[in-house]
Amino acid sequence: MNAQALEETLRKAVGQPVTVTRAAPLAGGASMETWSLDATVNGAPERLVLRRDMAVNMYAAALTRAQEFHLLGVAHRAGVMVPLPRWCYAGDESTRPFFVMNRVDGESVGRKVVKLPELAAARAAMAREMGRQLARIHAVALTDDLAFLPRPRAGERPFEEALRATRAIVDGLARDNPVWAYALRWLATHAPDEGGRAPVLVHGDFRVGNLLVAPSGLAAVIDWEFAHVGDMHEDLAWPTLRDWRFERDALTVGGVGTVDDLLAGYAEAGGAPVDRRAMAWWEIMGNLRWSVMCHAQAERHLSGKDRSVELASLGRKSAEIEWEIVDLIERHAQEHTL
Amino acid sequence: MKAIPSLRPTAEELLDAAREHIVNKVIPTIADPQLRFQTLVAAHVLGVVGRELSAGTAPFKHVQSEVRALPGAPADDGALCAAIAAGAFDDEAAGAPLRQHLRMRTELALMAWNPLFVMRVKAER
Repeated sequence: MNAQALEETLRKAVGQPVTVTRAAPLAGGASMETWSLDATVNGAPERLVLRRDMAVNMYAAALTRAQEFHLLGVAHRAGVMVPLPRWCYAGDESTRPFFVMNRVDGESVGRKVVKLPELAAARAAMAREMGRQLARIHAVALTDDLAFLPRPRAGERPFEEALRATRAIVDGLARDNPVWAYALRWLATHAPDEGGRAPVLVHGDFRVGNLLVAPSGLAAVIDWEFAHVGDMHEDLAWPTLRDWRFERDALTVGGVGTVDDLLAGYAEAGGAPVDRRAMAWWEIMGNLRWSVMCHAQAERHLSGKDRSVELASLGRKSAEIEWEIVDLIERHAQEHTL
Repeated sequence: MKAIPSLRPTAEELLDAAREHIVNKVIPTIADPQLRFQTLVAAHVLGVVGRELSAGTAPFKHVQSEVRALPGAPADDGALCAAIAAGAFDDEAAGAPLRQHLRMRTELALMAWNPLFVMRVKAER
């Protein structure tokens, strides 16, 4: 895809004269195509990012680009650090759906975020800032325009929804995986006490890797496609998963900071009181989901829908996450038998 | 399945040659970050297969005999999953040996996929 083709694409959304002067692919996930663009729109220079569906849609539960575009605007108005969304295009026969937002400078690749010397100061402040951002996200009013967000069924609590959805994927994969069987059983018999908490807007993939980090600090929260309505502890636990620490295991929040800092930032920005037991439950749930998703992605390769060595490899990578699930349950058992 | 020893280079040596080619000759020429990452993954999986060939099938036969030695003597992984789902391992007396078993088999899988992972997480203790 060259600058000229992207210019044609961009013009469909903008509806004004557009020239693309530079186009570079950005490292992204396996489900989305992302371009960094320098352009002139109606005579004015613009630094933009274009985010577009891949030919194959990976996750049925993910938001459409139009929904993600709308949610970005809502988050922006609520004071969450997000790139300003600019234009959206629902797609046609020759163009896959996409949206365009302002480009925010910063590193997103997790391995680099935890390591680059120029980000040292940003890392030191980051867990606390992540807590603040989560508090703002969880405070977003769930107004009617967000009715498209996936949410638990009537009468179902968020943890029940998570268990049901995960069990459905496990059943579909038919892998006879005893770690999954044990995790599902453990989660069902150690359900968190929700204490009447109201469900909130959950980002759904809030972690190092989906955050833009500049030398001055956290610059933007990106990749909102898995946003839904659920339990705040899901978002608080997810960035602590071992796999999102990028081998800096001792720094349990994304390889950059501590849970105490994360929760201090959360409280500081008005977040509701945190239940550490619920967080521990969602950490195991998060690991289970990620392990199951790895196999679901490997299955896309194995089924022939989307041949890719990257997807295939995730089926084996799952062993790291399964090890962590067993270890977390073991630690819990030891704490409760002493 | 062990590599056939009379053939040289052996299967492991061929995999090594292909992996080294990708890492040393191909990856340095790739500018597209996505393609670069995917090619690193391709090199990594060749290493995984090499380690798995070297280990042979004995470890996985061992896993299956260990399953049958668990409380309730499940016949195979399917029976084990069903017993877990029915609550047979809920109490600590059965839960502890199950966790030990699950840890052993994930570590076995990791010896092929990423031996450094196990070293890293154990060094942390």
